[in-house]
Amino acid sequence: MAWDLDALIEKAQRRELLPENTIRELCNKAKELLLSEDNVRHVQAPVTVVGDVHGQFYDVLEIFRIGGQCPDTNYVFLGDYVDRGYYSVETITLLLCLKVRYPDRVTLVRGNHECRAVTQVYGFYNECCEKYKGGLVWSYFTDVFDYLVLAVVISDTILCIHGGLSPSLHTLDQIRVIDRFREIPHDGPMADLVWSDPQQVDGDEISGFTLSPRGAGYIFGEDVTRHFLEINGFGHICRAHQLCMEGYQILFDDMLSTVWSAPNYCYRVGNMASLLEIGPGLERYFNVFAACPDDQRTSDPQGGEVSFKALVQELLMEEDERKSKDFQKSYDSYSQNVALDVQDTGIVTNFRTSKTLSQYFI
Amino acid sequence: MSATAAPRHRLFADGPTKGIAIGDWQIATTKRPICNSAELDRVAEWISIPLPEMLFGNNELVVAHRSGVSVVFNAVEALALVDDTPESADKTKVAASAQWTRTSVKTHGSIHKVVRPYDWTYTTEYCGTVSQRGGSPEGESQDRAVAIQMQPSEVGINIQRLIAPEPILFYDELVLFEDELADNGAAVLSLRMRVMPSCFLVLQRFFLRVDNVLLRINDTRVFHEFGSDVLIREYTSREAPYESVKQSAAAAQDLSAMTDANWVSARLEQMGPPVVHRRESVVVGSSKS
Repeated sequence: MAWDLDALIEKAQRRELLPENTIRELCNKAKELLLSEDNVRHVQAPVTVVGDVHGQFYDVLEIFRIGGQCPDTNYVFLGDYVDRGYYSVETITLLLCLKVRYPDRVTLVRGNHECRAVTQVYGFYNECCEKYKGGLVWSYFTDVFDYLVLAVVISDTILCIHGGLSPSLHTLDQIRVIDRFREIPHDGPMADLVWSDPQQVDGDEISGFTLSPRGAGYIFGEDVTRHFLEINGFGHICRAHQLCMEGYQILFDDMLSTVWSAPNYCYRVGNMASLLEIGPGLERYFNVFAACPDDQRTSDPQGGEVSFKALVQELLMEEDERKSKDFQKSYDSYSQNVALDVQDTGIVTNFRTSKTLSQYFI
Repeated sequence: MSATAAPRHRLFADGPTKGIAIGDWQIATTKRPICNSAELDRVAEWISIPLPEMLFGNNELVVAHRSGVSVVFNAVEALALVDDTPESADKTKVAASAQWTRTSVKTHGSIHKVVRPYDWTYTTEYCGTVSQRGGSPEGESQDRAVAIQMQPSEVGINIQRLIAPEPILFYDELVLFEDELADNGAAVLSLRMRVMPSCFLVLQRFFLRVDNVLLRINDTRVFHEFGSDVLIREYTSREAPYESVKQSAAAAQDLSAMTDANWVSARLEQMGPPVVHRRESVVVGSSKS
């Protein structure tokens, strides 16, 4: 098969799955490309920074509609491309196609979900197996994850990372020398970059680095943020990793901001999302957007998905007498094939715990 | 008890609120997006612990009887019961904690403080807020709701009634709060309810998964059979080590079953009696058709 990247991008934009061999080749090309990128990538403003998207494919298309298409707009994605949403495979496929096609206009930072262990729990592994029958595609993608960069510096002024700072990292050079071509470790500077969170503490509470009450992970305060910026001559840190209702959050006297780009997270949280558009003069503008309208989400070509709300309305709340007599029958036959929304995702899917409603919860 | 015709009922919807008026009962859910930062600031004045990342503070489920008795479920009351004593953070630690802490002590020994310890699993024994509106239905002080206690009960939920196939007149589900525990698992407090011609059931479930450490489910069920004069509440708390539940997961590499509260609940039930089991009831007066 001829390697026509533009045709692949068009396919990916239509949410068509690429053949397994094509995915393998795409991942190989991406790795080759990423191998030559430094841990810390430098880009020049104007640039648009995107936070977590978590497999919400239609919202990613919306991001390109709002923020501009590739390569017209220069993009920095801050990681967490996969898990939780329904279309992690299609999302990472599209982003890798764009990366390979426009390597200088797309930067992909590694998030804590770009990791074998995490994707086995939060859906990506499962989705790969369902869509490609077997775990090979998952291993191609997760191999690429090991090559993603750890940080981006915009116009020598704004540091972009997925999670946050680390007590082991005082200078940019220390990020540069991390051996990043590996699974994300449980601890150490590489883990901190993708896992740690800022926390605003009030009054006399101590600042600096503190321990998460969970027993792993650091929380960093305003003073260490200021210190890091001063040492490295930066003006701002932009990171993702944490959901916020407004789609962004500005902390520490405007020294740090969180950008979150998955609207209506998990299809039910009702939050806004944003893109951080950094202008030529480094002015920062959060372009806030809501979830892409339902009529722009095409139905699943593989079938099997029905809105739970629609099911409830059709089957459960039917006031028409004739239909309500048929309810149990139609429900039972329906439940042979699909289960209720046991994961509370708003969508009824083929799921192993298929049950009739009377057993649904007792 | 033989099945009787359903009490008169009417479905209603008003913006984010929808529900059913059936016999002497009114049951309604309100669903809104997660709290915005201004709302979070207001909640933080009441709740001292760091709030869950998805706090549906405007969501609510209300079960109200004409006599003035009501059970309300909301997130803020549930979070008020989360342990925030200094020892609370030590009860459960994430799987990577031991190794992580060893490294951290070695490389950053000076960092040893947890700013605000709290039970970060958000475990709550909340089982709804029960109150009685003051005075008789005709009284003037109807609006004043007084907290009341349910009484221990011999009688539990009529399971046979719930298993019997019946049309569902009203069904809804909502989430009160959810936290991904920084991708170390999940803590979710959610509600489901269904109303049938003969009875209704509310299930509030607190589901905790700490990956490779622990699974815990605290269930509260509120049940009423039309024609009876009591509202019944059952609370159960079950938990088991992650590893022992995982053994029954289908494939070793596919751990998604562990994220399914229904599946985990069924496993926990098979694994033995609950840690806590409580039956309570409150008299509401006989409901009329």
